[in-house]
Amino acid sequence: MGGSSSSPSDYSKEIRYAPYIATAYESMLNTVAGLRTGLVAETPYGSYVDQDTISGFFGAGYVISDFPSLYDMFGKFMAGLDIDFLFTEIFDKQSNLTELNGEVTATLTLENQALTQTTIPEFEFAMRESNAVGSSTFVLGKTKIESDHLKKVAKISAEVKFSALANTLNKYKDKLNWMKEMTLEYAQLMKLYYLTESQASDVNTTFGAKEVLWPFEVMDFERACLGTMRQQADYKKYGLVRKRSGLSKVLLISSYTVNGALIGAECGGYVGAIIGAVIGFVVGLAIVLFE
Amino acid sequence: MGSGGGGSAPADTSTTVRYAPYIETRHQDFLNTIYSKRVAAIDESPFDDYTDIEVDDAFFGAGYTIASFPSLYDMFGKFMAGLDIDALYTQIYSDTVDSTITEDLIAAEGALIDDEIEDTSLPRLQLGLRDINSVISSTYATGKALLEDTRTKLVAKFSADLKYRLIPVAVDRWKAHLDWNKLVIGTYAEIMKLYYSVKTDVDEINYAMKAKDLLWPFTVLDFERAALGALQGATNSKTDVAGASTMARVLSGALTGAAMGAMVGGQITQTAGTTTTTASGTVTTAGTTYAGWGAGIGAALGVASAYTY
Repeated sequence: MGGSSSSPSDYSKEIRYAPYIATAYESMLNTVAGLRTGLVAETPYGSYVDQDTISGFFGAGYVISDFPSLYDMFGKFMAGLDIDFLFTEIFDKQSNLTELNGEVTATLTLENQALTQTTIPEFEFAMRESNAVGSSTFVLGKTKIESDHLKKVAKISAEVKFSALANTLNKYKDKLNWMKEMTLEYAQLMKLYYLTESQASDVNTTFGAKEVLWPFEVMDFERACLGTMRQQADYKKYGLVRKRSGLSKVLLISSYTVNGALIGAECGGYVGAIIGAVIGFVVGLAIVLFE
Repeated sequence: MGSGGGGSAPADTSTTVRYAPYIETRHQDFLNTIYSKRVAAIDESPFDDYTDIEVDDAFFGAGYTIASFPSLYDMFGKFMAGLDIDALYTQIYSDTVDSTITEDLIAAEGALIDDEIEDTSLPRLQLGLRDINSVISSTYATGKALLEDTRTKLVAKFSADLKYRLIPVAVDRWKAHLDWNKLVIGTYAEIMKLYYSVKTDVDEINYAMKAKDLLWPFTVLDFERAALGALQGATNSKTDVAGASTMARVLSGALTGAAMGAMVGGQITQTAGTTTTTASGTVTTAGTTYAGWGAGIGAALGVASAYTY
């Protein structure tokens, strides 16, 4: 390293290094420059295809605003739903099901067959035996048989119709739950879309930026080489951009543990919660270790 | 390479820093290359094509905002606080026990018994009595009267039975109505929470993209700046695109954390609203509120984790 002055006011200083260093330095610079020329044109990101979340979620040519808004869905299936009308509709349908009437008719047919083939002949035979066919008792006896038959008819019909009541209530509640589930599911889908779209946009633009900046990324190493004889020269390794803080690691693992416990609790009570917490902890730890 | 200055006064001096020719040659070539790449890259912002993610249209429909819809407090007033639950019970009781459908069912029962009498019982009775020549006797009239009496009693019994059985149905229906109103408010609040969560996150992403686009020339020029000072040990200040930090945080954690928490919360809401049928046919509501707290904690931890990244 050295310097020289040309005049009292203009001072020129030339920085040079020991011959063996200069030789190695020149060789390295030439090598890096040669490599750089080839590498600059070989961006590895050129083949990246943008993630198309819009088509995946809504179909080609459609966007989210082409579909009913979340508030519309909420209005249609929840806030604006006439649940009294819904109950009446279900009650009416359940009480007048063709299947119910068919069941009553079929049972009646069987009852009538039993009456004409067994009960009445047996009664008449018994009355003949006691020579009472012409008496008023015979008439009243037959009336009693028919009366009992009518009671059976009424009982069968009532049982069938009463069973429809429980079905009405269950169906009513199932339908209400379904409406609520549908609205919440729609909200979940929307949330998933925004999460996915945000991530895809970030990834797409990140790859786009990486592609455009590729020459600079390559040349940044050459820059570091040019300044390598200076202590400050530094080459940042791209790709390892961010590092999670210790606090963030603890919070992330805690978050996964709590969520795991909750999901486990939903599935299997306290035992499920413990299993879920362990799984959540392991997942959180794995994410921290592998990211 | 050199730097310097000049002056006319004797006190002014200029200093030129030079490097060995091979270094200067390489540096000059390097600067020329990076200059040409900068010219090509500076107008090629990858963020230029970014289209803002739309939120309001998806939540409210084109041309509407959250202010176009009833406020949460209005909804709460309508579906819960302002609801006259006694009047509701009376209305539901009447609508269930004394409804047209109930009367129709009773009438249908009467018609069924009538049909059975006319089509089956009476012909069968008459047939037997014709054989013994008793159709015109008083006993026959008594027999017919007995059948009519039975019919009247059966219809009355059915009517009473049906109405008696409809009372718990009315009570259950009333409870379901109240539960439903509560679910409507809960869902409305959840939807609103989701809106604000998505809106703030998406706004942050949209603005971050805009900032990146505007700062793109400086992102590119930062490499050239570092190249110019390479021999002085200058380094480029960033390894990412300028304006990226906030969005990266949002993407990596906040939205994900909130989504996880809300997802669990959604399941809890579903469980709380799920009805189960018991052996007696009544419907009960199951679920626990602890899970909701846990979901909130999980989401909060996720968000905190993201912001302390």
